[in-house]
This record gives sequence, C-alpha cells and structure tokens, in this order.
Amino acid sequence: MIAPETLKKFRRIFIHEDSRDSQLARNLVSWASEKIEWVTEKPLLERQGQLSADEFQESKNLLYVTPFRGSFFKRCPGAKKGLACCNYYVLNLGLQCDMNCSYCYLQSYINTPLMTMYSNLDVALGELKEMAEEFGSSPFRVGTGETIDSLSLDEITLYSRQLIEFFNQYPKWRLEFKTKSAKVDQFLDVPTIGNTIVSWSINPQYIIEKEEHLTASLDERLSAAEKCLHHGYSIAFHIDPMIYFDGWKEEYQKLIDEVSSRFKPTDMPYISLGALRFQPEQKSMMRERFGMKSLVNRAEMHQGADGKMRYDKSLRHEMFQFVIDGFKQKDPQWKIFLCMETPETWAATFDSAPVRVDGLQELFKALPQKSKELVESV
Amino acid sequence: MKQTNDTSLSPQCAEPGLFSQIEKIIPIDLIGGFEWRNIVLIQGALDHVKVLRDDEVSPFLGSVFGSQNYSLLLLIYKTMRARFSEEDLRIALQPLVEKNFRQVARDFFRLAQAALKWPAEFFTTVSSKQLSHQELAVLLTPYEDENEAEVYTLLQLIAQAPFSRQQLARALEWGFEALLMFDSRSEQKSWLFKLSERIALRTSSDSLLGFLREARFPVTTRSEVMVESMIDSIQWPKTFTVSAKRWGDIAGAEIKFQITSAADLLEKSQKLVRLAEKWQQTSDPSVALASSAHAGDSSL
Repeated sequence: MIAPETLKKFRRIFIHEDSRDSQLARNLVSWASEKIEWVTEKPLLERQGQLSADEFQESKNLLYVTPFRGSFFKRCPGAKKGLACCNYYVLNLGLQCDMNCSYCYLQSYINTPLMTMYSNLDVALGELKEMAEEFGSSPFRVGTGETIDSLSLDEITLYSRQLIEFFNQYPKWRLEFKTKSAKVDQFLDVPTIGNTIVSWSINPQYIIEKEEHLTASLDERLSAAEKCLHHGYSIAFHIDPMIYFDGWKEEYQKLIDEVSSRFKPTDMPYISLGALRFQPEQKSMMRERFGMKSLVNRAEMHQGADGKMRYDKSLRHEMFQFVIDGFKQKDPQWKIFLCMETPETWAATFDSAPVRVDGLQELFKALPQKSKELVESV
Repeated sequence: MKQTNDTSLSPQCAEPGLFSQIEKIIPIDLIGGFEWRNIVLIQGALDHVKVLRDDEVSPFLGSVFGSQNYSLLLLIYKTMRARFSEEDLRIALQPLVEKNFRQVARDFFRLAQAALKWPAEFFTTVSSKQLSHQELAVLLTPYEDENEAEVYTLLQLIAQAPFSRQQLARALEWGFEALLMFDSRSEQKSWLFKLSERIALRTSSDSLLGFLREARFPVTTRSEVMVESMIDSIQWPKTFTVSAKRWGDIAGAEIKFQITSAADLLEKSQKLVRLAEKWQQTSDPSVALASSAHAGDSSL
C-alpha cells in the first residue's frame, strides 16, 4: 500500500507499546518508520495542561497512537439542559484535527500537545455491539466526528470500512461521518444498506477560504457528496457554524443555490443549521492564532444560558430564517433543523418545538437509556 | 546567597541623590507616577543581580519581586531587558513567573517580548491599576509591523484616559481589537485622531468607552440602538419605566411597574399584551420583547 499523503503532515509519530499489535501501528511502521518513536507512557507529559497558541499549533504535527482506556460511546454535548437535543451519540476515535478552522472548539478542549488516534477500534465496536444487543431496534444515531474529523485521516486508519460493515448489521441504527474533507474513496467499495450517512459541514466558499484553513473547498465537498450518493450512501449537510459578515446574505444565498442545484431534498434526510459559538476561554487563543481580520474574532458575542458565547439571539434567528426560507423557496420538501440551539430559538424560527416539525420527529424523540454514564454529556 | 536588598524599603529611602542614580538606569519617563518603592526595588535588583552568581539570581529575584502584579513583572522585564540578554532574563525569571503565575507562565515571555514596544506611560498606568494576564492577553493579537506606530499611539492614548481599573481593561480590549479591525492605516489614523480629540476635551470615561465600543462592535451596537429607538417610538403608560437591557444573548426592553391590586394587575396585563403587539408591529420581527415586572413596596 502506498503511504497516504496526509502522513506528511506529521513531524513525529509516537506509538504506545500497547498499540504495537494493532493494524494502525503496523500500517504506520510500513509507511513512515523513520518518524516513529515507541513509548511506554504518554509523551510530552511535562507539557500537559492549558496549551499556548504555539503548542496547540504544534500539536497538529505530532501524532500519538494509543489504545483508548475509557468509554468510547458517549452522548453528544448538545444533550444539555437548556438545548433542544437531536439524540446524537458520539464515538470518539481520536482527539485533534489535521485541519485548522479558526472557530474550532478543540482550542478550548485539548490539554495535551499531541494529536491522538486510538488504536483499539475493536473495543469500540464491542461497546457498540453490547448497546445494539439491547437497543438494536431503536433509532440511535452515532457520529464519529466530535473530537476528530471523521474522514480527513481515514486513509490512515481505514476505520470507516469496519464501522460501515458493523452498522450494516443494525438497520435501525445510523452511522454518521462528519467531515470537512473530500476523502471518501477509501470506503466507497464497501457495500452499505443505506444507514451510513456521510455528512459535510459546509459554508460559503468565502468563509471556507477565510476561516476553514486546510479543508476541502465547497466544490470538493459537494463533489464528494455526489460520489457517495452514487454509491448508495446517504448524505447530509450541516451549515454550521453560520458566520456573520457584511454580505453574508449574498454568500449564503450562493450556497443555497449551489446545494439546491446539485441535490434534491430526497437525497438527504436533513440539513442542520448552527451559528458560531464557542467557550469564553477560547477567545484569547482564537484572537492570537487568527488575528482581528478573522470573521470569528470580529463579531460581538454574548454569553448564552449554556455558558457559550453566541451571536445576539435576534441575529441568529435572522440568519437561520434566511437560510430556511431560501431552501423552502427552492423546494418546500427540504428538511432543516437547528443544531445546539435553545427551544426559544426553535420556537422563533419554526413557530414550533422540534418534535412537532414535520420530518424531524424521529430525530428528537426520546430514546431508551442504558445507563447513567450514557446520558451524561461528555 | 549574598546579602539582598531590603524589600521593605519605604518611599523615604528614595532620596534625591538616589533618584539621579536611578535616572541613569531607568528612563525618566518610566518614573512618572510610578511608586517609589518599586523603582527602588528595580534599581536595587539591577545593581545586585550583577554581582550574584548564576544560581543566586532566581532566588534573589523571587525574594524581591514576589509580586502577584503581572503588569509590574512585565515592566521589570522591560527595564531589565535593557541590560541583560533575553536568555539570561529567561533563566532568571522563569522560576519566579512559574511560581506566581503558574497558569499563564507560558504566555509571560511572549507577552514580555511584545511589552518591549509598549510606551512608558502605558506601563505606568497598567502597573498602577494592576492589570492581570487575562486583561493584557489581547496585546498578543498579531498585527502587521507597519501598524506599530498606530498601536503605540493607541496605548499612549488609553493610558491618558480617565478610566477606572475595570474600564481600563475593557477599553484596552475594545480599543486594540477595533484598531486591528480597520481595513487601512488611514482609517486607523483617522479613528485615533478622533479618540485623541475626545481625550483632549476631557470626555467622560463612559463616553470614551462608548466610542471604543461602537468601533469594535458596529453590528450589535446598531441592533441595540434599534431597541432604544423602538422604546422611544412607543408611547408607554406613565406608570411604566422602560429601558433597553441585555440578558446574555438576548436584547430587549425591561419594563418596570408596580401592582397595587388584583384589578390593577389585570389592567396592566392587558396593557402589556397590547404593547407587545405594538412592539411586534414596530420592530423587525426578530427583536424579542422581554419584559419583567418588578414589585415595589407592594407585592405582585
């Protein structure tokens, strides 16, 4: 096998001895043995804790492969008091991202100067199997793009292939990959029963160029989506985070035009919308890393009830309404919902609670709970 | 360790003769308004560090400058940097910084590098107001070298303004961010000129903050102006006190009134419903009407 291009991004690769027998470690040894250092404990322990801007940047160049020792399967952080939750569960297969979005929440989340990839997917699949045995007939949605992009490094791990095959056994469950890359070729030959959704965070190309550094262009993302559709995969789009700037309406209108000209509402179960949000402590790092020319640093943000910084509610509502109206004018069949928003914003935008919006009931219906740990937000 | 300076030096120690000695080491413009005690300490430290062995420098500095005042420590760095190499100072100050500012120690030397370019009066002001690391962190925002003169001017102006400690921190953040948001140097210069005019005219600190805020947040400021104009456009009952207010991410009108009886409650509730309808008609539909009734002496 030829070494994936993305491996060039890493200056050093640390592999924990406990991962030595994993397929991931074996692949890395065959592709980049000169960069590998075997370790018996987490490297750079002296640099743990709050990262400086430089350390955060450097962490993207240092890969650490290790088994994950905790519980892989967790409920999405949207499952918090005060937010309308769409029953999304997350399977964290790594931590950090090789791309560089100015608003990335990992800037306030990561406290280790490394990009971590977990080598024990078998354990994660074991957890899923245990859950599926009890609740296989409930409509669980499981996503892998919470703490690491689902697909940008998938050429290295090839985890997508095993996950798709696993989910093929549980038709009621949905697997959702969430990405800003266009890397899909590595799994397209795996047959799917249609319950794997490959989803893209999308934004106008103007935003991608200014704020979503090292990601695929809008056209590349949409082309990858077309490719997935062609191979029988479901797709979805997240227009998230919507970012305010002078001329936002023109740019988001172009995005609506582009998506609706290339896709039909029946091509995807939904489009989700979210507006820029971040933890207050992230502000300094964003400002230091991307300066005041970055759009995310320019707008006035206010602390919402959940503690996150958000645009003024009226501005969020205006932006959501604009996009919803834009799609509905193209075709009333488009199904759109809000991500990580308050019930009040839902009510203002849709005149209704999410469980009453046509086509979205299933997403927001309460699901059975296995254990206390499962419902606690990560 | 050799004899150290007496850290309990009082202002009385600063005799005219000593002043002239200090002048030789510390630029005179650093002294204006600065506490004598600190100047004496800096002077003493500068002299004393020269005769210490390498392994004695850090403990000595720790004993002299065991301060929780982050901006003072930056000032000390700047002053000492004129005499010592960056590497020597890093070795000498690292333990002190880690001891007193553990959470933010990693930022100290980067901020100290930036601080070498800050004007003296800015140091004097932020040190006397004891601005923290978090409040100074905005100055780590990257900017083009060609903007250095404008940044220098802004910091000079902010130091001259009559801000309280809390206002100073806010003004620094809004002012610095606003300056870097302008698209051209001519826009920056024009805005700085307006700011300097206001300061020269002894504009109040609240008004100066308003000026900085408007430059920093043109969008939401407009939306809040809109709420205020809507309040002005509606004829409110005389017994209602109405003002624009923000609750986190929601801006709206706060309505206060007193209830004197059950009948009064019913009447005022009906008025509120009519006012809410009028508000909806007047406003952009996205502006929410948030109201809260406050009981005065009587209970609701």
